[in-house]
Amino acid sequence: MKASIIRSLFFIALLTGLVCCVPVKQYQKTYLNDEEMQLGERKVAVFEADFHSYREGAVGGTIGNSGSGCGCN
Amino acid sequence: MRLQLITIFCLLYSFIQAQQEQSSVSKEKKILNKSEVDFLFSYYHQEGNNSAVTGGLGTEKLSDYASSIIITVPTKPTREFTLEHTTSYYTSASSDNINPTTISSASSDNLVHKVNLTEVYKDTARNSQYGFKLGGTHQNNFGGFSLGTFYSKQSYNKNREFKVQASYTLDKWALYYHISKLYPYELKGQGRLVSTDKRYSYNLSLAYKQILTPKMQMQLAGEFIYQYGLLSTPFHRVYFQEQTMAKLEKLPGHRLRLPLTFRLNYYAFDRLLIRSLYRYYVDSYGLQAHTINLELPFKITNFFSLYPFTNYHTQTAIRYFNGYKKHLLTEKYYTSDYDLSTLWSIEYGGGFYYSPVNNIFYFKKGRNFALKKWEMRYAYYKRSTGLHASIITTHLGFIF
Repeated sequence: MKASIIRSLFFIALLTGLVCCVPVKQYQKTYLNDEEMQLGERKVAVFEADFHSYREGAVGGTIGNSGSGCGCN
Repeated sequence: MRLQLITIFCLLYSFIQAQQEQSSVSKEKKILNKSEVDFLFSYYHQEGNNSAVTGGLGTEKLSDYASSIIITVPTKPTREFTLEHTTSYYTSASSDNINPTTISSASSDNLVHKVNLTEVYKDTARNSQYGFKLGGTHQNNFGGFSLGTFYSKQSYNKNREFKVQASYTLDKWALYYHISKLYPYELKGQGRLVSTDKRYSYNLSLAYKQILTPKMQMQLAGEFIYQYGLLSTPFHRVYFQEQTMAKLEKLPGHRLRLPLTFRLNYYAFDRLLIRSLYRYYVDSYGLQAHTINLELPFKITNFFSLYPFTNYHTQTAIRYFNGYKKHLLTEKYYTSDYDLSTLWSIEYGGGFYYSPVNNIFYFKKGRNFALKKWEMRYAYYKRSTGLHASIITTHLGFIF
């Protein structure tokens, strides 16, 4: 039940996002160019990603190609 | 040692190359970006009582100290070289239970080194870039190397971007001795318990970024991960209902993993940003997971922000999981690793990010060297299985 709600919210957000996009000129990108608006993970979050991948079974999709490591700690 | 020598060599190489190219081509010097060096440090501590080393029942107490240095040198206006070296040292109570009478080969040297080299080529005329990655991991009982490449292309107005990445990773258990030395002490001498000591991973990831409004952008990304080889851990015990003697964890030798993520960043008000992420994950072991991450950076000034953040994760167990003394001897595959069990977890914390336009401070001795940004955050992590952890991380970014 909870999973289906999350999935529905995900698709609604995705569709809303795709439908409501408007052409944005370079001079209108002041907010978008803010470092904290970038879509990648913060460097500190990338650094912490290992512990999430060890303590949870799910990996990948957030920091590019999932790396190497035994995960045995 | 060898890894450290390689790191030092690569560092020297990148510096020499940067110096040569910058001094010989004075015209290029004017438009080269500054070189960057980032230092990251973290301390992580966890407590729990479901260690897979002792069959799903036993201490998971662990402390990890990690540091990383990332050096990015633009060797040409269209070329950039990045070297990343991470060192992590951990003390683990469960590793010591592989062989409680002596310090076992798996726990005697808990030092992990990771090195990654990335070279990026930018084609500004075509709004595209491509690059290559080379990586290595080394610890006493484990080693690996990886090769990768990527390509990205932006639309003419830079409102859309498509990126594709591919990589291959080869990992090997027990680099300097036979893998049987990693078995729990009571299982040694039982012959060959695993069919291979190698793990092969192939990754392909695709990402599409779209600017939606002057204050909102999103990214949709998917990754395809195929692994084969030894996918279990050669010192994880499993206990059965019918016998007291443990067996070594056993998992299928092939695994397909598919994470799909959606990010949405929104500059909601003049001082408040919303950074969000949702990830759906499914794999061939039967694990399904949902992850939601939310960050709310609040800008106290244009250059200083405070942000609370939270991460909620829920997953189903893999079909081979069962707890301590719950497995049956008739099962083909079995594990008591609670990281692969049905669980939910929540992480919450806060941090600050400081990056003034005129730098935090700088040294002017020959070449300018400035502290450009500083970030620090703390998080508390709680898992439904009883495991809880704290992590504190800081990042110092310099330019020179």
